[in-house]
Amino acid sequence: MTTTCLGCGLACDDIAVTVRDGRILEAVNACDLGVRWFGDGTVPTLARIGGAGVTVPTALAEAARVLTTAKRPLVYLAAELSISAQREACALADVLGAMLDTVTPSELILPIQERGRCSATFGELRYRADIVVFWGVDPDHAYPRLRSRYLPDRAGVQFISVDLSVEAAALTRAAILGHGMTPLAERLVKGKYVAIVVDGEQRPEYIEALLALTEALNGPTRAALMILRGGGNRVGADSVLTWQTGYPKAIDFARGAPRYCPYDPPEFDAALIVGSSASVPESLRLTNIPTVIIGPRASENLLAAAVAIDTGIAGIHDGGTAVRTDELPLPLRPALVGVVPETAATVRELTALVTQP
Amino acid sequence: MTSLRIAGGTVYDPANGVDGDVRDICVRDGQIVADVPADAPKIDARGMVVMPGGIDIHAHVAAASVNLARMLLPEEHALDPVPAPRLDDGVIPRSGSGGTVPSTFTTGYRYAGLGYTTVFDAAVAPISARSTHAQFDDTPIVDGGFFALLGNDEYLLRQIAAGERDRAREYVGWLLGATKAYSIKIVNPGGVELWKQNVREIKSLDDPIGAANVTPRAILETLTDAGNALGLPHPVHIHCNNLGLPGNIEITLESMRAVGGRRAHFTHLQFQSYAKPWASAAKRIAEYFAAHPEVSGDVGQVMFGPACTLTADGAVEYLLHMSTGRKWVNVDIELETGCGIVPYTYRDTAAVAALQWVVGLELFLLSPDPWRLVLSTDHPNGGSFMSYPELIRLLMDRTYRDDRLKKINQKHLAGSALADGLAREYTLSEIAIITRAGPARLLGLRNKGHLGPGADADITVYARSANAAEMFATPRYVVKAGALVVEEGQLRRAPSGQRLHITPGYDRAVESDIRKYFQENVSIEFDNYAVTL
Repeated sequence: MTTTCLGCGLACDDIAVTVRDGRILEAVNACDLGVRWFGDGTVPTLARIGGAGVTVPTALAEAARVLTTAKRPLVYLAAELSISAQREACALADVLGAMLDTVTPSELILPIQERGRCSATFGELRYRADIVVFWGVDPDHAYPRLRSRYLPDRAGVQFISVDLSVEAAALTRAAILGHGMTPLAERLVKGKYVAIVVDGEQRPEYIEALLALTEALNGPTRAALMILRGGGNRVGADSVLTWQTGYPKAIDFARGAPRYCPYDPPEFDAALIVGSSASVPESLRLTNIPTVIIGPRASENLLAAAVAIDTGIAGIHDGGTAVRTDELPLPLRPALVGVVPETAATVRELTALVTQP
Repeated sequence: MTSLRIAGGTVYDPANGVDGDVRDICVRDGQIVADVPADAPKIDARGMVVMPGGIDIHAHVAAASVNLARMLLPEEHALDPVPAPRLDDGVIPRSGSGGTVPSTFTTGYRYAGLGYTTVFDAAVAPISARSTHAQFDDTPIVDGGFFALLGNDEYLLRQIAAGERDRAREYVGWLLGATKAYSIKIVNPGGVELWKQNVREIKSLDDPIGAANVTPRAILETLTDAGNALGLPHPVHIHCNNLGLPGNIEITLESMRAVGGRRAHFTHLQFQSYAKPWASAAKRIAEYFAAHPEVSGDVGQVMFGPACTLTADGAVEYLLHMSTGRKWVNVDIELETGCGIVPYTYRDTAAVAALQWVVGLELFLLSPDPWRLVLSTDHPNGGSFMSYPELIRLLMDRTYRDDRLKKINQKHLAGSALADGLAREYTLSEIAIITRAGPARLLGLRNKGHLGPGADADITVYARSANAAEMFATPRYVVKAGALVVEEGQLRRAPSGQRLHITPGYDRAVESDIRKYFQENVSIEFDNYAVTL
């Protein structure tokens, strides 16, 4: 059995991990990014309140106190969580009446919700695409195995690199719709199946124009926009929050039912970060409010955390499911089980404390 | 609660020949039993109607595609925020949102609130089965299962091309077991593969899909035979070619004849029963059903109001997007199937929508056998499952129906049986058949859809009303697996449902060939395909 790497959104599921004496020795098939992701698998297993070591139950009791005494708590999902942990965190936000948010940029989600999207899974592209356009993305840097594992390697496939430009996307779209002509448009409509690849993490503001371009290509030919997402299980978070609440992010439970507020997130006076604080944006790190962190290396974080509980990393210590950047779900088969509390179980215990009558 | 007596209700249990008899229904440990002690908890159901829990044979509630539709509809969700219910069983109640594609918890609560206790998701890409199981895990109360999309599966098409029908059957057996599916679904046989090649039209069942011997007809035959040979409790579930197009009655009937004499279920027939130019061809379906006892179907009624069209039939959604200009999702799912989504509104002022409404009602009202043509709206395609009570009223109340008929666009209704006057009114027993007993029988669910000893204690109790829509919208009591989930019209408990899936026997020798095919073509590892529950 192989395991799934969450080093980037490609979620390569062919990694053979070797363990000796509780450490990962080798992650066969992993790229450099993947090797760094797995590391040696060692993580701290502490619980702290204000820097002092405590037991996990004590830390959870204090976390419950912090979150239930807050008027406007925030629950924030970091990138690298299994869908089990995401489901538990969403339940906790619901019962707390909290604000719930994730690392997914609003600029990425809102145009998809406004317009829809034309997409595909990687196997379909590998099988069918005869033109691949890298739109302002150098895949070998952030997604090292994209070409070798997921894109077509048949003779005759055209690869085109285009600089990031809303204008180029708009002009090409207009040409495809019959207004003027661009060299790129001429090439694309001759394709049988066009894959446009863009990095959704680096420049989400380009997504809208590319959604429109890809949609226009369908008709003259067939086309899919592949939005690459970063490491962890970011698409999983979008999916879980959507099925549990109806919205993929920026959900406010304060009024007793989910309310979508992607434009104007409310103020908050306490925060729970689920997952590694490393993927939390600067704006959150600088807040001077009581913060609970339940996640990998929580005890080592640089925030002034009120409560920190170390838990496992999805796919290394925590099992479950992750969702690949093209929406396909994959099993996580952790190599190191039982060395650190599971994130999902820890959040569930906190929810049990919070809901105690 | 381990025991319960539902006392003195008027019972409609058509599978056991009970038609409006006053009797007690007793429950112990999640099952119906002949009797319980006199001191067992009791529900006074005198004057009320007692039926088995509802069973939805065809809906879209828990697939990756459904979730893309959910994500696409924040504007609907904003209009229908759903606070958490107040539950008595210690289960954490969850808030959510409604609209045509509700959140999972809301889906479970609302189905139970209608007296439905079992729901099948009719279209799951096998490669995303994990997502379906996870969504069902978050859909409380109802038992859930799904049909696996196979009608455009590349491995299957290759076996047909090579004349390897035995291997095709073994593959189906492997795939259904690996993904924990319940049956086989065919959507637009061959047509989804063609859509990926930007071909949007199927002219006949004998159009080649790549190889000359791979045709919609060969796909229908291969999968129907595979389903029957594997002994599936529910036979192959077929969405025909050319859905929604005028004149499609011909290919629909041709598809039925192609698998003639064999068990097969034809789904959302309303969308498949149009003459050209636009007119109802429901009568021809009724005639075929009358002459062919092996065939079954569900209606896929269109209800006026908002809907979200959502199908593996990507070409249909492309046309709908181009013709309406509304937003559109298309996902081509590797070597298996497709997915298209377009939000849509059926207006009674629109000629085609009015015809669709009429065709669906005609299918119900001309049906020779309610056991074989059961209720669906193809939720959320023809309308939400929340509109079932209104649909039941249309079937039970001719006056109401005829009044409604007068107010809709008449352009395509010339020669329609409904416009000419159909007097039939469904009885409560027939409603129990098309919403419970019939689906259970077609799905091969022996312990569901009836109230005999040994059946699952899934029971709905309705207060009578002259307005059938009111009656069916708000059951007074709902029992699921013996738990009283709705009490005095309020949701009180939300136990987890069961997963309904099958484990067909197959020759494991086929796995080495499938493994090789995965290594060459599929972007995930063979060993990561199978789902463990």
